[in-house]
Amino acid sequence: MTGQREGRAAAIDVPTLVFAAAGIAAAAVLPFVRARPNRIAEGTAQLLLGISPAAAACLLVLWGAAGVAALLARAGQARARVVMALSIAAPVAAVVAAGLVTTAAAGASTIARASLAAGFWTTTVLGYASFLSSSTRAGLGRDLLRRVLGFSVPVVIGALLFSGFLDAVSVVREWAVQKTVFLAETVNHLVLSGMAVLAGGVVGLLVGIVSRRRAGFRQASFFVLNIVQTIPSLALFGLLILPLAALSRRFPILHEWGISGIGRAPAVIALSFYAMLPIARNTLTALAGIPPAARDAGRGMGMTRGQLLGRVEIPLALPVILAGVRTATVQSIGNVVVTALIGAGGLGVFIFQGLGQFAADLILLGTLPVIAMAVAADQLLGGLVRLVTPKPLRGVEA
Amino acid sequence: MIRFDAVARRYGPVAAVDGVSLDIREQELCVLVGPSGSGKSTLLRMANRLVEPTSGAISVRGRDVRDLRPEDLRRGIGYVIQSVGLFPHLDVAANVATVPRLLGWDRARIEQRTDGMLALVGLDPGRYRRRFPHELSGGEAQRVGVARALASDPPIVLMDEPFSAVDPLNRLRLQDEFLQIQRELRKTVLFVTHDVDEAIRLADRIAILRAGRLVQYDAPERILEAPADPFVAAFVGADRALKRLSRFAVRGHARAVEAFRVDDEASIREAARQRRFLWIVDERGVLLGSLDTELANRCGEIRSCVSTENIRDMAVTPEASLKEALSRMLGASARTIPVVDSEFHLLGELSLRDVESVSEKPVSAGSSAGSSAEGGAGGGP
Repeated sequence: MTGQREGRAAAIDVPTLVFAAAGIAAAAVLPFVRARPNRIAEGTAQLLLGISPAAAACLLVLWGAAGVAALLARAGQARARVVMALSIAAPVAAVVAAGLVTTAAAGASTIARASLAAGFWTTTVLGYASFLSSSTRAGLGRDLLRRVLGFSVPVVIGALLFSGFLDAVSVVREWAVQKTVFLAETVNHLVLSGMAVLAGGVVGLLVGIVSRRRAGFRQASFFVLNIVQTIPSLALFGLLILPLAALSRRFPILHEWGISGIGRAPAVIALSFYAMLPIARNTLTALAGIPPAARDAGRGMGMTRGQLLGRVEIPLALPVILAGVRTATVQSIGNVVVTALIGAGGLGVFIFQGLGQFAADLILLGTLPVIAMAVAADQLLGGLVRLVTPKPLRGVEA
Repeated sequence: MIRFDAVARRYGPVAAVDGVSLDIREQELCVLVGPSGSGKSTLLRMANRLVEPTSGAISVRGRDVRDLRPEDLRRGIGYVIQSVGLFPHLDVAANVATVPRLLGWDRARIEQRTDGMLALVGLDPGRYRRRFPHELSGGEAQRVGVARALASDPPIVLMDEPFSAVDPLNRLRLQDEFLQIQRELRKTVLFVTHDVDEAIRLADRIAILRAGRLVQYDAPERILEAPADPFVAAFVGADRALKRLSRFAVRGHARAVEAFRVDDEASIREAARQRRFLWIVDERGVLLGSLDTELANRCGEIRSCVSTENIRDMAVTPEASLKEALSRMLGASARTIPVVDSEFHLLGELSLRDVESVSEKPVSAGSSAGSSAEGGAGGGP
């Protein structure tokens, strides 16, 4: 009898219960939208229950259903699938509600703004957290349903943005105003992070390869790279201004190429230094992890150094090296934000403008695409890592 | 075929190999044996230039190894190592095809060769071709390692403790299988081990190394019979007389003997006057047991007096070693044991005297190679 009761007790999905309770609380007490007479005014926070009881009820029902499933349904993958669907439905519903209530709150006024508040963001984060938690715990990490549901929120947001349904949301209004600049700075942001990862990657790879053979070089290079990693990016930009400006004055050709103390040159140089460490370290780790016997056998059978590298070492090391590139890329996309301060542009431009003008929407306009880019790059490179991992070496992935 | 001429390799003040001269003959299996640190692996790795000698010269097939690009030299020499060193990201077929691919063979030839090699080492190509190294047992992995070393049909094979990491039972099987392959292919093999028994089982000739120096280089029978110094004697062990017996096969030492059919009473009674013991077979020639003729005289029916008790434990095959034969004699408390074929037909008999005569008779250097070819346990179809 005791055993049976323990069995039932263990079957309760506690994490989902916690997420559901938090979701209900967020929908009920946190302000969902903030209506403001203009873009910098404080405005008034409003509960979803107050402006759209139907939407609020929808959120409460979704979270409630997830909670009930966690409490009463039989444990297993079927329950996990239900919880996953209900969890991801909450952010979707929140996005739709956002479109509805902001249109109502902002009205026809062109300067009035309706921005999304804590209730919206909390619901979105909780929904994703609950979704990832239940799918991972049920061993559905590679499940088709997880992929489809995981992409549903960005797809819904994209579709609604395109249809104009979200036009009244303050960030979207800000975007409409800045459209041309936004596009240019987004491209700029991608180019800057791309260049940084490319340059840092090539150097990092070489540092890693050479480090495996030469202990002295390894000590010295990793000492430098580790120190660089601890220097705040802003300080590193500052440190590069003087030498680069001097070089540019000394060699006019550099000036013609656009290299000077501020702008893209110091930005890319500094960022590629940050990108070097993860790539160099992963290259070194990967090469050191290759079974010595495989290397000895390869050499003993008559492989040249290049053949050994190309046929044995690189194929075995590539997944780990690419994991380093993945880390470096995500890190670079975030770091490029700061380069706006030294005139290199990027989405940081909006963030610093927003900070200066006390315009939260502008800050969001800079931040949201950075997050989206980082997540997309992470997913993309994660997929690439899986693709290049030789079948027998595939294990647990992060 | 492989010739070391006053070869030395120093690491700082330490000499790993210290002036070794050694000539490995074509188609011979030469085993380098010695305690750890004796320089045997270093010596082997100098043959394909994985290690360069500090002084001295090495020639392979009559050419100084320094005249060849290391890669070209190595592609012409098979190489097997203790930890196998299969490439974990490649399947068995791709692993075996390593050297043929380096040599630029065409695809059809490589495929055919790969399957042939897997079959040779006793792995069904259909089942093993697409497996990956982590799906193989230690013994299977080492078989693949041997197949890979032989894939391009090199005349020379270097083997650095190839069977040391395998459990003892599998090691014996691998050794037997390898001996069979070697009898068929007749490669020139340089084989490193620290296991004296393995050396005695496999070698045509054994080179014993100590602290980088060659102490004795001779046929196993000779080394066991006349160790060059107390070190060699201690190294090969106090049971070296027994080990020596393991180098000789029953075939060649057994004597023909008449078999008596159990229903041929007249012949048995006739023979009983000259001999105390007779081997009795049934109507199909299958050995039944021995007959003590003194008992037989008081016996009604011959069949009931034949001693069949431990005949299965006594009998040896012609391929068995004299060491095994001696062990069977001791086990059965018999001075004479029957020699039978796989169907248990009587072929002859072997007596303790026959075994003793081998121990007494010194083996000349010339005849040792011949006896070693028929020696060793196992023996293939």
